Amino acid sequence: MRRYRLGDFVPIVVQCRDTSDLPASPSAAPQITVYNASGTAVLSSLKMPPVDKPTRTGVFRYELRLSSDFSTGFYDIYVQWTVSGNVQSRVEKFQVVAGGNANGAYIGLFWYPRPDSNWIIGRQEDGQYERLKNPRL
Amino acid sequence: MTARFPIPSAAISATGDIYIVDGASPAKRWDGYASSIKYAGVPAPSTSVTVGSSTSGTIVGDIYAYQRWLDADGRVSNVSPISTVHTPSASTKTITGATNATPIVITATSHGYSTGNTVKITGVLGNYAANGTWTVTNLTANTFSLDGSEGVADYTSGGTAKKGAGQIDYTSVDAPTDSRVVTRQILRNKDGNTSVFYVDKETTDLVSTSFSSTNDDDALTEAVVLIDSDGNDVNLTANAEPPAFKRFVAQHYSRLWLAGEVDYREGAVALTNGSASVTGIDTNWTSSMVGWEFYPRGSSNTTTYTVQSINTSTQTITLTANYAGTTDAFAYYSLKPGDDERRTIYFSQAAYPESFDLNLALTLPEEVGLGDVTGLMPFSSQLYILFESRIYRMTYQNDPSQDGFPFRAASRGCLPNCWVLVDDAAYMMDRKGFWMFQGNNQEPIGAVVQPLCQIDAEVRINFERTDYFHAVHDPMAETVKWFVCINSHRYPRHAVCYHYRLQRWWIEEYSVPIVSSCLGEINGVPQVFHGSTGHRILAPYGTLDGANPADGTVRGTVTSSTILTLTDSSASFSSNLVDVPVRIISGTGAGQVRIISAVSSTTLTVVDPWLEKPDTTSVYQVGGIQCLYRTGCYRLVQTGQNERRGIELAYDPVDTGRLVFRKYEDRSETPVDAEYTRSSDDGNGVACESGSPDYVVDLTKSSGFVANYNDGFTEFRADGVRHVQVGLEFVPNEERIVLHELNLLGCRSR
Repeated sequence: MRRYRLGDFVPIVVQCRDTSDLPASPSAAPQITVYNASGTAVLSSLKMPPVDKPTRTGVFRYELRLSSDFSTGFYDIYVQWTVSGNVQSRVEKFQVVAGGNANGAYIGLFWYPRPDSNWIIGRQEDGQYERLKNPRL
Repeated sequence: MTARFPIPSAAISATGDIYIVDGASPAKRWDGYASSIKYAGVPAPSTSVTVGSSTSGTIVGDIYAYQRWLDADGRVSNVSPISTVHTPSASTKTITGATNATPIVITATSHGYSTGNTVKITGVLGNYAANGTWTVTNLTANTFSLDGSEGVADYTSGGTAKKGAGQIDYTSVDAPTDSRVVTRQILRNKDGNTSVFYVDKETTDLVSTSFSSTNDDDALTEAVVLIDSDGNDVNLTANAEPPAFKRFVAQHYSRLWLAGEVDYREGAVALTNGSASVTGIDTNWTSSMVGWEFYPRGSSNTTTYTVQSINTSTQTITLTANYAGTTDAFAYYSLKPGDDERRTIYFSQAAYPESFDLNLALTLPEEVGLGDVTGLMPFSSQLYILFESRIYRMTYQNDPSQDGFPFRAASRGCLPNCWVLVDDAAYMMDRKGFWMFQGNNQEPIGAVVQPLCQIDAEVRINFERTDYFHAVHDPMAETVKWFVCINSHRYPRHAVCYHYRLQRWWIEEYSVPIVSSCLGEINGVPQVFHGSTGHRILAPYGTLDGANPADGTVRGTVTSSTILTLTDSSASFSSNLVDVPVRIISGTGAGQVRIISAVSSTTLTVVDPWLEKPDTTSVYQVGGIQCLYRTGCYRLVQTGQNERRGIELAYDPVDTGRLVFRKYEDRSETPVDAEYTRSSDDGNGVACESGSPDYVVDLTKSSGFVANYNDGFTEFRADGVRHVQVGLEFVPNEERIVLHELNLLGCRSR
């Protein structure tokens, strides 16, 4: 079981197979539901995009960003899909440990000097902008 | 929702505001003082005003009207579509006579005008002096005179008299819904002039759709020139908002420039034949993408569709036409502004960074292999347009729309955000490697790190992650750093570094992702900042990575551990160490680095388990930065004599710190194990253990000099070692480790 901090990405990969255990395309993109330790669905109906579809049949990958929906604790990832009418599923567990930040990484950082003060403007992974004044060591 | 937001770009305008664009949402502006970052520009009214008139007065002629909106700082929008013409005509009469006399007496049956009325006369032939706007005197029921007029000829035919209105009524006035708009203006022309309009109504009423004004032409004083004397559009379409679909912004002279587009391919889509509805799978579409072109990839599709609307909460697109391809439950796709936008570059009005005339975009050249626009670079006095594989220089004298022209400046290109300016040179990175650009000269500079760019390299740059690549200039270190993803990392964790004075290259590996960077200052001294995960902005300074020795213990020996913890019973760890790396620098488990997730006074909990659990032989360094250096491969001198061979190191002594060196023979990647055990005292400050490749240097030695000598020689005709390399590895504590000399004895200089 992997351990993550808020803001990290949890990679979720499934290989859909038919009853003969051969790779097969599902009827729709596999859907993810994430449950917390109490069994409450934290996130649901997350659809997974395919990976390298032209050459790899039935492989899907989703990178779940640990946003403010999550806090420290254990979670179950429940992935469900249907191949030729057969409902299939997979469950994974992960743990969120202390540290990190729900807004994610600073994907943009800009220095903005003004007469009264100097600023760093940061754009975070969730699209939020943050302004930090007069940085110092 | 985990799909990425595009990486933004920013520029500071001549007005001092910072503008941020990302190509998928409206441009944003901040002035350093406002409580929030706002959308730039002012949206324009989309429907025309309806003009009417009422009561009796002096307003005559053909009246047209526009509406425009203003924000709190007085920025104006484009005007609305023009109204249809309205001619005040409370009482229109046909003229049947106009005397050639002073004043002219007009004959119009049952005119009904009163003395003092304003009447506009048009179409009189013969005595043409009657045409114009006059105050009239009522003479009889069928005649009136024009005050101050003077006949010039006999009346021949024609003519209409229209009495002026006292009030202009505006209806169907578009009401704003955007919070940027705080004021509305209704502009109308004066009689006989359609180039200059005047503010007839200004109001902070953002709700009403009907207004009226009793201003006659004389009362209209606030002119708004729409078309200047040269026929140039000044205020009609010149104040459009910055286009939301451009992802790079630059300030050049007094204008803001925008170029480059997002080609959005995040996630996948569910397509149904015959349906205009497209459902996103792990997408993050924004409302700014309405009007973009949607191209389903694969599924035998050959058609491009246009996005009519987007439901951003359900991530559903409605196309303007039904999808005609094969139904596909999870298809790849591309979503981008129209192909005709790929080569456009927009510029603002001079000194008005939020006013764009979208009709005046410059078109960049089509060139095979050019690639997409990857940036805008103001450099020297020019503006350079960066492409993936080329660079173009934009030149203009006064007005880019009139005399602007891009022409090719370099045959190499640049990855997004992978350029920095240093004095009179731009240092860049493209898919071929690293190079320097000096306006008229381009020069490859990174031969020594070129293998990183090769597809068959064991350690190579992952060019599928170029969105997160970026470069920064550290002027204090005289170094340019390109942050790149090596192999499969999502974010950059490595920097390819170039010391431009010494022309030396090295690679830095970071314990946390370095997702963005900027150059700022602290106390007037240039300082690089790095954006990372965990809500951390890092300012490289000192010798430790995120750990402050003043806060508590940062180095020590492990007394116990579990698979997820490290305990030092004599330590006093600070709670500030969460998210900081801890490195085992010697003993059991040496080389492992873990991120700290929790701290108690004597125990560190780490995010990922130890692969080799530290024990009481393990020395840890919180925030330890490992430095690796390998010399070139040097040929041993072959004299047939017992030539002295060895290694000498000169350094500044430090209280703590660990430095080891290893020997490599004949280009082997595996270091040679020591053949003997020797203590530091016996080994001239260098300790080694038989069977281990590590030669541990005593950095506390006050002389600052250690040596490790060995005997031996290689005859010309004998098998034996011909070449030697030396690798250094050290992890500083809070003191900087400074090496002055590394001598390889017994080697040729080349």
